[in-house]
Amino acid sequence: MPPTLTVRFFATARQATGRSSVAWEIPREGASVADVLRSLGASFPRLAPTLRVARIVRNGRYVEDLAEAVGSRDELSVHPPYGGG
Amino acid sequence: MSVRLSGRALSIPAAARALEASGAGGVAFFAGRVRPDRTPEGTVVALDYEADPPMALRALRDLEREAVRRFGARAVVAWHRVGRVRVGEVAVIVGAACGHRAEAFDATRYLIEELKRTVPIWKAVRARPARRPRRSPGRRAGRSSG
Repeated sequence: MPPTLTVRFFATARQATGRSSVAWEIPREGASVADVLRSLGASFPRLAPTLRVARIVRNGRYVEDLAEAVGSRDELSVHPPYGGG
Repeated sequence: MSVRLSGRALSIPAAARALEASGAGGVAFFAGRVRPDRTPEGTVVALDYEADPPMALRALRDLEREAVRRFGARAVVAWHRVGRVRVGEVAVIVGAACGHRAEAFDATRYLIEELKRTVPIWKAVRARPARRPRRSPGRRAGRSSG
């Protein structure tokens, strides 16, 4: 079975995918956060505009460098721009 | 010190009490209510708030710490509703108790502006569509003269 990670979607990202989370196949060995986002955008075209402005959280920490590698136990969250208050 | 994400009504008196308990000379707070704004979808009747709770609570605690560091706040409240919040209900309360009014006002302004910018909370509008004017048979719609 290919390795997967968990991706959680909030607000407009959830609306674009129709799901609150998915188990997502890691595109290749040594794949980066950016690689995962590209494959998500290709599979969910409506998600692509949100991905361009979203903050990405990896295991509870904001991702500063999208080139960092992901692993099969990782959890990514897609945070569209915030709108509290 | 108090941060909160709540699915239940937020109490302004409870927030005031939490701030007054510090005994500080200047107490200020801000409460934001849902407004019945008109939008292209109709008139707002409620806002549905969602959060990423662990990240949101961490961000609220960061704001609290920063209010202490920057403004010398002795007490802080940063409370936000989640779930459906109807028009007129309080969606957010932030406030600070500081030595003097200037710091209390500044801290409160800082808390609400940074909360909107840095805390992972989102809202979706629930609107009641505007009624379309009825057309009378045989008459043109629009403003009648006379």
